[in-house]
Amino acid sequence: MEADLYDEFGNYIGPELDSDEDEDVDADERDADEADDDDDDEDQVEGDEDGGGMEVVLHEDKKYYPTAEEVYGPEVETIVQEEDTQPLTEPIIKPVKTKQFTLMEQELPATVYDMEFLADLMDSSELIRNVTLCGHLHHGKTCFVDCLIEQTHPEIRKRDDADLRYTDILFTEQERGVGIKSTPVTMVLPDSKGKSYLFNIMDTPGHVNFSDEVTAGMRISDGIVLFIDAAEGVMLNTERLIKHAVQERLAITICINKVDRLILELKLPPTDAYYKLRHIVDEVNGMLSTYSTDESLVVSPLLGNVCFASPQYSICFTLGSFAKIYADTYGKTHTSFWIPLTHSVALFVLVFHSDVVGDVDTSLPRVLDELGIHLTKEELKLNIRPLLRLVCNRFFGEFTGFVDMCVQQIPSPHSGARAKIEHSYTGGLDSDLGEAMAECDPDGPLMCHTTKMYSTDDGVQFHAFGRVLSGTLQAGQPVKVLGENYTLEDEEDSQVCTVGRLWISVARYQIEVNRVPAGNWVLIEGCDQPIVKTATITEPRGTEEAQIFRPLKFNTASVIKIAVEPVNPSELPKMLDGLRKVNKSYPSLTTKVEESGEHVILGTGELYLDCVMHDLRKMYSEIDIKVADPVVTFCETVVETSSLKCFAETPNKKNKITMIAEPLEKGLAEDIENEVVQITWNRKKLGEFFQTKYDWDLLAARSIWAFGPDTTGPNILVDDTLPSEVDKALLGSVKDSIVQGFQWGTREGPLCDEPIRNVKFKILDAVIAQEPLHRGGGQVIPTARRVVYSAFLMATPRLMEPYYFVEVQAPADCVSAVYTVLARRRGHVTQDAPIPGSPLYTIKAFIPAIDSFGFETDLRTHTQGQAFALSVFHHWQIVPGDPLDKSIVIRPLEPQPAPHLAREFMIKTRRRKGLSEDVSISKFFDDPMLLELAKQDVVLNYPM
Amino acid sequence: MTEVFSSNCEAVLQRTVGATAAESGSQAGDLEELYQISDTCRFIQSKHFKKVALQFPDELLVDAVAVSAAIEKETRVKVYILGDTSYGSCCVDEVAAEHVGADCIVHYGRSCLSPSRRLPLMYVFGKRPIDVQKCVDTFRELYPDTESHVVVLYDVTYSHAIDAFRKLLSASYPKTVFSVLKADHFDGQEQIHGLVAGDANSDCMDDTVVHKFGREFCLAEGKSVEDYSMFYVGREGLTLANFMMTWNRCAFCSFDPETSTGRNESININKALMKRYYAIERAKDANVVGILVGTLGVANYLSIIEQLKESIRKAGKKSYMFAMGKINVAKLANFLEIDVYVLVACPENSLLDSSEFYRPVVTPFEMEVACNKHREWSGEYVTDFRDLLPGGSSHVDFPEPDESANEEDITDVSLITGALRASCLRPTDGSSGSSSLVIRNQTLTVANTNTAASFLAGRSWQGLEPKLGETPVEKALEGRRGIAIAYEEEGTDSRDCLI
Repeated sequence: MEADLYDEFGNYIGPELDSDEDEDVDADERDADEADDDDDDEDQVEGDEDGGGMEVVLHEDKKYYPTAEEVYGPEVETIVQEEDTQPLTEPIIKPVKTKQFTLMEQELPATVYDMEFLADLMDSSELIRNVTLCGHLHHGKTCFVDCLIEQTHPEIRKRDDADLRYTDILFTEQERGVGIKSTPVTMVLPDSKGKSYLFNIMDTPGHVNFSDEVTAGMRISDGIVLFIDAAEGVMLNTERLIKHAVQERLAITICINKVDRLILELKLPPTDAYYKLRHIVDEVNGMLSTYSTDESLVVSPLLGNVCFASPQYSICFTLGSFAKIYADTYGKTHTSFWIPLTHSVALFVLVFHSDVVGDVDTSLPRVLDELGIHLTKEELKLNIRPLLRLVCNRFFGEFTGFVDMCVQQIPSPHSGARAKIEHSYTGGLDSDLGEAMAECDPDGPLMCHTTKMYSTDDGVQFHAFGRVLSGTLQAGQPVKVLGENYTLEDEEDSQVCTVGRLWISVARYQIEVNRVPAGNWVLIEGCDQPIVKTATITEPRGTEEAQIFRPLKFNTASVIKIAVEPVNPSELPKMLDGLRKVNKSYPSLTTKVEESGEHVILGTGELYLDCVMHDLRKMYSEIDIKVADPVVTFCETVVETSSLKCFAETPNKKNKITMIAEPLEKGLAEDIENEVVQITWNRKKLGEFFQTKYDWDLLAARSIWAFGPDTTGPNILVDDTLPSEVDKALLGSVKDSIVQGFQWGTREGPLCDEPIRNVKFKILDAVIAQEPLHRGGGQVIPTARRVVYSAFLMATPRLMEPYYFVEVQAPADCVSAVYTVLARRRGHVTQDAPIPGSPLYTIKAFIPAIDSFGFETDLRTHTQGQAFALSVFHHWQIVPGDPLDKSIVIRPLEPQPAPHLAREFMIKTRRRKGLSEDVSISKFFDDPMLLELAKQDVVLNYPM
Repeated sequence: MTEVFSSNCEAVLQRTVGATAAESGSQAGDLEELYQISDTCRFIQSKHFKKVALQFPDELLVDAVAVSAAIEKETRVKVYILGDTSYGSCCVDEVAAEHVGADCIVHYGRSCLSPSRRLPLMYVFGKRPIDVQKCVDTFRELYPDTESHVVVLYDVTYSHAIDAFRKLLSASYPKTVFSVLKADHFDGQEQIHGLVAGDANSDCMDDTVVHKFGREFCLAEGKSVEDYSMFYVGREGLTLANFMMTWNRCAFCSFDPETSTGRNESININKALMKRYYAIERAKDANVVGILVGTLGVANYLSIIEQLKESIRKAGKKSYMFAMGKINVAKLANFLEIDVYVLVACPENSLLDSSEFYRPVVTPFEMEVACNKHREWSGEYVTDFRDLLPGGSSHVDFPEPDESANEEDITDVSLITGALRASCLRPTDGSSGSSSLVIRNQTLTVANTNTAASFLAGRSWQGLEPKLGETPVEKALEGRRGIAIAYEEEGTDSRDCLI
């Protein structure tokens, strides 16, 4: 080896080597020789070429490919493009895009019963039960329905250990793992005696944001089954649902679900498990007595309106059904008190589990023998859970207990019709039509109430879903669709359509039928156009006296507001179309254009709006949409009585109206909104209500003029003038105009154009011109509005914001973190208590809706995902601070101290709406009024 | 009873007009300069006019007598002063001039330069003081880049100073364009005097000239108006608002000569546009539309009214026409039946902030958007109704009836109330067009209710009491003819003493 060929590290640095053998001493020489050889070769090759071709063909002249003309012929025009006009990522011929957002069966699955039989059952309304399954989030409603599906559909089985979630048909529902839409399921179920019933079951979402879906389901049901998790007990939504069901006058039954958790998770001894179950039943009864005046409304396993279930292990029984099993197994009847029963249930499950988990081979067959259950060798080799499930299934059988409970406790469409109609129909029961509906008469005139709209797979069309209350709906029949604004006087909101196909909907598949008699649920094609939310479908002729069913009354309010705008302004029509569709799809969603010209969407919460935006962007319009930061709706109110009588003169100086404003009594605004009291009542009834409930004097109670801004608006206009001072007849002649001015004023308050709330306006004095011409609407309406504003501004105006009620479940060590997060968002805790029989705590709190955006995420971050929160609109509360205090300086990008908040909210709302920065108060006061202010030496906080 | 119909005379005398006397040139020496009296006289004499109407806005009326006296002395023609104009004082009140039989009008003060139709016209804008140097400084401050594309617009009352401004700027800002005032007239350009003489844009290509609102400027080749920013000289007001709405994609800056300050506008213009969008939605919801006549001077106002009536009818709405002079809240609130008003006026007066009104007041463009399915809201905004007429730059044809019949099936939901929008009466149907003769539906026990009649029945005041049977019937007599200022039988002499 020569040293100079290698560097100091031993790396070869010499000339290139041809092969390993070239490590010879004469490598250099040979290399040189070879190089020479190579040169020679090249020369030769060149020489050859020169000799072969006659002329020199330049590189660029060489022809490598045939021309387009040679290939395609002379008559074909060829275009050469130097640059791609569309990006490479985009295919030239796009594949046909099928939009699909729902999981659907391709064909009708096999069922244990005959479809014909199901269709036949539709005719006997006594054998139908319309039931809504509702409950708190993750209390096992969908799993329960899965069990029913598996029992009736032999081919549908859940894969491995994943839940089937058969009624979560939207992809988004599957992805989120939470129900978004109410899903109807219709099937034939046998009771414990083997008699078949047709069950229309509505599986509803448990998340409080989607309470509106539950409302839609309840409207067309005769009863509910309220699911309660045995371990978690009564939760936020459970309580709300009980209240709602009582209001809707539905039969209430309870299903205590996931009983296995008591034993497997909480590891409670049987006695404690019993107390835990009893605690739940007691809690429910407590709530029932709070919300209902009916003393007999009690749930108890003894009454047969409570069942127990564990869908995980396919267990469902009531006291009755269990006693039967017990008797069958042991040959003796047990006392039907449920105390020992739960003991034995608990024991059973415990025994099963320990046995199966412990020693499959030895002890299990013994136990099984004792119970009379026989398993094959194959089955015994199953994993523990499926095995346990199988054993339970064999032992408890199908869910006949559930069927028994529903059949006995929930009225059939026939027997429940009268109560249903009384509650939901705006017309009277004494007409022929009313009679037919109360009788649930399939031969009567057609009346159908639709409460929900389901979009087709591709989101192009909608199908209306509802219940036939009388008559029979035929496919292809012409019908008249009455909208929510239809009245006998104003028939504008009605349209004649032709019904397309009709279906019975079973979550992922639909059974097409050609007729649907009274008492059944139906999915209708073809009359979706005129329907916005709910509708009444009747015959086009002969039912002129038909009135509509009441629009849905939700137990939640849409207070969260987002403004949307297409990124590309020319796509506005597309977005509008999308907005129209989401409006149909979500029962309590409101889409509208605000005064500022923004398109706003109002929803119940963040999750709700997230789903809406998903549908809007992906499903219905496929365009880019900009979303503004979420805001909430505000209200304007007063906290004191006007500091002086405010008056205003009409422009012609011939009329003068004097008013003062003061806050309403507590609870009155809510009563008006919930229609506990209605302005349409006669004067006597109205007066009595106010006298007895709110202690008004007779005069004031009898002289209520109007509610504002509409008939359910939380403001009152009272005529407080004295007949000795004011000509009542003259005042009466301008009543309409003053009411209109009052309603106009309360619709858009003076602070930031948000509605006025909780204010009583009293007319104290009025000078009205003698000649009708001088007291025309043109003079009086704007003046009435002005005096409403000035009286409002003199009564210490304040802003109101919506508050959420939050329920947080967290382990004990996370409780302090929950407090911290709440405190940072102006929230405060009202209750914090351990859940009995579990390591969790429940924290109940209030939080302003405007500060609740991102609260859940924030909470999870601070508790490492261990805390779980649900929030729902609860009440309106006054924002701290004076919105008109000009001394407050709002600094940008800084959190404001509490007393500045009202001012901040007002100014920001005004900015968003494109109003001038500050309220010009003097605009609402007449010159004489200003003089009066000066004379009375009223210290105005606000510089005019 | 007389008081019922007209306000009493004392009240009229005591009524104060909200005018600011600050800008009148009270010194006699200034009059000649301020009101361009010699120019005016030259104009009158060159065309041999006999009767001249002088139209003053309220704030300049104080000088009216002096000015008219000066003109009368110089030219020896009959001069009339048109005081109280029924509509905006920026528009030429031709009807008032015709009442006195004038054969030309001299318009004083601010003007919207809307084209008029009938009479020869001269504009005297007056000369408001302006600190040109300050203005130039402000301009440099707002546009530090000397290559920036800017269009200079100005209030007509500052047109006297624009030449000076141009001289100071055009050297350093080669890309800046100055607009010139140029109104068009039914009878041709020569009928209008007082505008900047000479065609400053003669070197422009035709297609790059923008002519709007009596202003003309020409853009560099390959550029559109959107590429320019706008610099406005004048106080903020209707003129600026009008410009900003029309060129709503351009950035606006303004210089206020009163305070000699400049500022960036156009922050709120989007909000303003969005508010107009809300007005359109209100218009879509309306069933009964009131057409307010807000001008009698602007050319083609009759054609736009006809077009509006037609499109409103085609959209299945009812329309009523109102002529009520100057508009105020109380007047409009007298008509509760009307759901929305559309105001036909000059571009500057069309944009009315209607939040104080009981019912919204929209512009003809907005009404068109609401009625015409072919027209879509895209952010483009037209304030000048003449552009909407056939042949105008933004005219859109109404969809053919059969074409719209298909679209009619798509029901529309109101974006304001959330209720179903009434697909309305289809009056073109022919068969069901007239509701006066229909076969009565026998199953219907209740008679068909007429919404208009029921509305009337529900009103607390239904007009003057007819006192049926209480007043004796009298034979109709032929009344006086003519207009109130001079009935025909009164003869001409009586008129002279009146004036």
